[in-house]
Amino acid sequence: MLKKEIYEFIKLHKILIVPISFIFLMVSQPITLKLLPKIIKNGLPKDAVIHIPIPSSAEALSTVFGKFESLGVIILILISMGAIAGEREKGVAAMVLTKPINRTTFFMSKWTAYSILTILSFIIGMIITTFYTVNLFHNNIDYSNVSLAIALYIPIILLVISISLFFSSFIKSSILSGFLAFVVYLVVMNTPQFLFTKHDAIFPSDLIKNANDLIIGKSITFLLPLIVVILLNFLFVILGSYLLNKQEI
Amino acid sequence: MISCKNLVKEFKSVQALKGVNFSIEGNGCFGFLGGNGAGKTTTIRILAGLAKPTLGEVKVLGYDIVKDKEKILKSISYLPQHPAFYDYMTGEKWMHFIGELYGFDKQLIKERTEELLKKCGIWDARNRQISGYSGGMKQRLGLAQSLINKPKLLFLDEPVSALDPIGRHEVLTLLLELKKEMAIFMSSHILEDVEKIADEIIIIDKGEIILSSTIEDLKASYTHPIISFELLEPVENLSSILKNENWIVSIQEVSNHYKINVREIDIAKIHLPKVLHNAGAIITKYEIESSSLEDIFLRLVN
Repeated sequence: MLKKEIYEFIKLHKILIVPISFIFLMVSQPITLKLLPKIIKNGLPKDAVIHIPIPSSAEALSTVFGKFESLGVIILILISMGAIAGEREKGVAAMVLTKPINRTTFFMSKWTAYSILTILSFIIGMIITTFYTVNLFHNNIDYSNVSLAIALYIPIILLVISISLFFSSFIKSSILSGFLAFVVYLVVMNTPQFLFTKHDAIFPSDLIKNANDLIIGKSITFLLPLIVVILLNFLFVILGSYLLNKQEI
Repeated sequence: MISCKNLVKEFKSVQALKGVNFSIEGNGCFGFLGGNGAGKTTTIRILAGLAKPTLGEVKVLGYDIVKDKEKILKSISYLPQHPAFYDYMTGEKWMHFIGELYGFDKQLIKERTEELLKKCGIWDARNRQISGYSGGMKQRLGLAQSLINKPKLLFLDEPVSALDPIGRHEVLTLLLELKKEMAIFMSSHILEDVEKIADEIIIIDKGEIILSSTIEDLKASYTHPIISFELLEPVENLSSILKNENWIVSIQEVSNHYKINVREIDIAKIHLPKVLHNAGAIITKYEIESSSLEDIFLRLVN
């Protein structure tokens, strides 16, 4: 089953589309920052004096995750929302699931395949962006910090995939399941801060903040939000495969 | 092979199956008939493990469909009315994919793929992407892949509706051969086809089984023989004359064509020509027919 998913990525060119779109998305961020002073200058009257500090490589790179937060998540959801819902819509799920295959296996192979695809694409995108940024801004960066930051962001990507497959497992329309996944992701990321005034840095969004801080060299503790995100991953994966088992295909 | 006891299936507001009871034993072809919305597809989907019964006990191959589903799935196959595939695969790749789901080894999958694709007449298209297949080819591939595990019980939901007359004939011939080795449980509303290949008939109407019988018994007990005849020119009052005869069940009249259902064929054979002669009719065509499954079905369901 996992083999089939990988075959599908190759046949439908997802194996090229996903990394390339990630690279474009991420590389565009340092380019924008580099060109920003020029763009603003061109828009101002000639005698206006304005000083815009040029960011360091590290500062530029730390904004990439922010960019990924919006568009990157949408791409992640768009490619994964139909993984199960789409197969049910087409009727091919009824062909496959009347064969002696466990539905949990079915769910987990899709989760594994999409996780591998998106994580590899993300890492490739980040590596290219890092080197490109260093080249663009001509100052050095602590590569070990960047590597750790990338590693910290991976559970967030998994969370997007888990939420997306969770909805895909029991909602028959892939568009609706994608939409709900996006809404729930935004809720998970943005609401806890408002609900609890006491901020102990254990919310999922703190993991992203930590990853950003790490790149610009701040010292951080990341264990608590990391555990929370991993637990959320487990929750959505277990619920998703449970609901798929309950479904009438 | 199958036994359903008081099978009930409820969707949110409707009761699709209201206590279905039937059982089938042994190999052969079992025709499952019913109008649109009678509950055919729902029943088959439950038997194939895609949907769950709300109430009742369903056993397939002796196993409980809810508890031992995975054991059952190894030895049955289900082909939905509109088979769907991963369209980016070729026909051959799909067969291999399905074979792997059963855990068969490569050599066995290769042998069965060749045998079945040839049998179903799509061997020449094996290297083409399924997205380019016609409806008939998809139906054939669907049938081929459903045979890869040599099922003991094969569920077919309207297997011939999408095919052209030649394709239909070929598939029916194939099913005639297959029913010697397995039980085929086939829903259809093309009664003519069911009549050709089925050994037993089960009729469902409004979520209940209204008949379950072998095709011979069915014909023997439910049919009234039909005599159809044609006259040179219409005879006035002929219908009302015929209606007075107590061996006649019903009369259909279209200008000078008549079709009558009779109670006792032997009595009718003697009396009908006399009656026609006395009425002054000149016969140009005279034929004794046996009534078709369609006649029986319509009479039972209405």
